[in-house]
Amino acid sequence: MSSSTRWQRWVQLWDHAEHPRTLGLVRLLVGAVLFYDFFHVGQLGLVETLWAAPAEGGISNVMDRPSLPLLLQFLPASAATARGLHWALCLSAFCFTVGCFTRSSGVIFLLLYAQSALIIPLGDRGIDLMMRNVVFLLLFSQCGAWGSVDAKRRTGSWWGDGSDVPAWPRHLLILQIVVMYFAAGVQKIGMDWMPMGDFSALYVVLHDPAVVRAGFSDIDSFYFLTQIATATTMLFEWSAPFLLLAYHYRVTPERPGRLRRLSNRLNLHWYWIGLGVLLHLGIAFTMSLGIFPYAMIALYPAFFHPDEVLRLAKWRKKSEA
Amino acid sequence: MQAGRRAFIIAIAVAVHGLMAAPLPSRMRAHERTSPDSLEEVARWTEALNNMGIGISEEGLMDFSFKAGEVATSTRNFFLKPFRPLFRITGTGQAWGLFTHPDRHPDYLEIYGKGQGGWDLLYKIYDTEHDFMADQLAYRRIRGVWDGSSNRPKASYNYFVDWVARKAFESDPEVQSVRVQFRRTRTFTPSEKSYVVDKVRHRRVRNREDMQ
Repeated sequence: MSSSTRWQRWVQLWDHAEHPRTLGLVRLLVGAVLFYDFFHVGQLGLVETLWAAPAEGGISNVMDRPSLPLLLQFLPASAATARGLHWALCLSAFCFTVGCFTRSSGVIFLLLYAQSALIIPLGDRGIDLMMRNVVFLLLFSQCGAWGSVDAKRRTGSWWGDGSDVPAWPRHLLILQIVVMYFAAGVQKIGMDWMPMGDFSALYVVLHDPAVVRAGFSDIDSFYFLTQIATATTMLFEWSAPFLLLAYHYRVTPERPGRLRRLSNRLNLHWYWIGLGVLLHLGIAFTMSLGIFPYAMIALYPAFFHPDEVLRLAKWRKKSEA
Repeated sequence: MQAGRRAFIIAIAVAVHGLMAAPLPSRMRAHERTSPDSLEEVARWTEALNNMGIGISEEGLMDFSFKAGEVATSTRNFFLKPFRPLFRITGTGQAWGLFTHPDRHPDYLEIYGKGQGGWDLLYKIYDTEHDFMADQLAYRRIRGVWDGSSNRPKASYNYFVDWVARKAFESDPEVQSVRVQFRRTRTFTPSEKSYVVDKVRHRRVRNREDMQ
């Protein structure tokens, strides 16, 4: 294959268009999870605790660090600033979720989310990084063209006029999820994740009071199940790149190959996606990791082409009738 | 946007994020070389490598890990330096080490209050009778400040203790002192020979008069 052909293929890969349904659905779900998370901070009375200076009741060491986050270079690290930040976070997250000035509210939300993380980096978890990557990506998409106030304003319908939008943000989103799982799998080098370590990792994790839900620490009689779950987790994460291969097979059915035929006939990627959902439901059931499992599941619609989402919705309607 | 230009920008973005996400060894901090989890992990890996016919000592493996982390981190930082401001302002990036080394020395957070009598337990995780501020302490952003397996308390630990103490003094006028500490335990699998680990760490005490 010549390099110019490769480049043309690369250009074509990112030049597809599709209905905005899937991107709109991801925006709705991700936005809802993040809005809830920030709203919940207020419910718990932790606004000043997280984002004010220690002199104002906060627990962050932000004032001890050599450089202040941008926000605190213009505003004092006071309780009022913390409350203002929280209010602005909730409002912009809500507007982004319902698709009201989607791009503007998304930009404001992303920048404030990043500032909130810089004020208390220890409270910023891996899922926050993932969510900011997703919001950043959605800003370049037309995710506000479906299921949004913007769609209603522009077309008179909450669901837009059905015009196609660029598909590359959804494709990059899939790549981001695959990279996350694969990198997480490769970095699991603790011996407990290995066969030599008896696949005991999840058994060990489920004894860590910082992450496990109450009542799940007494699992000695289920050791074998935790070993299976550990091995399955490793298999799932290491096999993440297979998803990209499965999608490649799906768009090149005319080419030869037994694995291609098998993958296309059985929709093998659906099993991987199903395993991912079960993994996150398992985490939600046994561990106390905040929004992590729900936020990850909120990304899963990205795996489906908008036509598949529509077929699924129709099938559900039919089965309910 | 022209398709070619868009594809070029995406190629750059994929390359930069790919380098960031590449599972290279990360820089090891000095205190991590002596943490019980690190030492135990290195001992287990050394044994596994020796069994595979790769002769290496525990010290040699630790040195190799330390140097590999240094080289990989420096190289990555060099190439990513021009993009750092964008990552910082947007809070984006790629770092996906999730439960890379399960913690076999978990710490239980304990909070005690002292009134007229002795110390009374106010909070211990899973303990429904001693659940002072349980919801707040379990919230993921607060948990991030106190959890972890490091030998040293985290940077905000003293402020965290101040906050807990203030809340305890506010909730009960009888409480004159508050003690926050961790109780380190050890996790064994059913097939391993167990022994008791019960070590109190990072104990901090705050008195009411000091907090006013």
